[in-house]
Amino acid sequence: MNTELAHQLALSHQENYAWALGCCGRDAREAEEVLQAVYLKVLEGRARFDGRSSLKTWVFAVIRRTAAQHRRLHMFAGLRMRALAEVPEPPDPGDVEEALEHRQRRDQLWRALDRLSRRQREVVLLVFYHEHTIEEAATVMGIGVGSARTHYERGKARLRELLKETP
Amino acid sequence: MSEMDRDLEERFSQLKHYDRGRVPAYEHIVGLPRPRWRPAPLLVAALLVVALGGGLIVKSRGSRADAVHSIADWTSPTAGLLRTPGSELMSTVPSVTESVITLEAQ
Repeated sequence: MNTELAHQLALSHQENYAWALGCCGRDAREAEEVLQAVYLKVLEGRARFDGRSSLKTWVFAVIRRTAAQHRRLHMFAGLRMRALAEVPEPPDPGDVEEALEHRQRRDQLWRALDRLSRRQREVVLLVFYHEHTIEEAATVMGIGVGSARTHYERGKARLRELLKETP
Repeated sequence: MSEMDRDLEERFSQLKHYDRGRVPAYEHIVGLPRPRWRPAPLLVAALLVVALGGGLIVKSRGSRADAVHSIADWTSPTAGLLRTPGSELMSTVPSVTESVITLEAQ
């Protein structure tokens, strides 16, 4: 097992988990399964880093592909749960009213994201949540920069509309 | 950057902040029990369809060969109607030297 790679994965684990969660529609259990499969692929050498992009971008691309495979495999098994119901919501410390407002805003954002096309959702998440550039997002998604930019602009515009619409 | 972009950034930043405290440990993910391979229901269904289709093809090929074999022996169900009294006279050549009595006896 490659210890240097294992160290790098452990360092970027928080980001990797957040991206896996995004690729799995906020389903925590599915995100864990996908991430485990990714880590095993990388550590056992079944997925090899060729250095054409940054390690983070490459791991994100592997997570995205693995989540898509996982989705296809479980499509008819009824294992795919709806996202928001799966996310555990422990009580927030501090002001209850503020915590409730934050939760409403998060739920509203996820409901809106859920209504975007998969590619629009992915590029918006990569840029706004993971602070990738459009070029990096395009590499993760395996599409051209122009196409990624189109998905980003359309996704952002649609997200604005949806956030205005939904209370 | 527009006001709406700033609003989106703020929302995503809040979400990120919220998620940060809920990440399972790296060791927990790596140490999860490995999923045992189970055939996906779709795969099983596809294999059944292929097997069933293959069986049907083999069966239909066999019956087609039987049909080719027996077509030479086929006779029309109304062929009997073409047989009329005296039709044998049309399929034989009479001999000039034979007597009428012999012909009638035949």
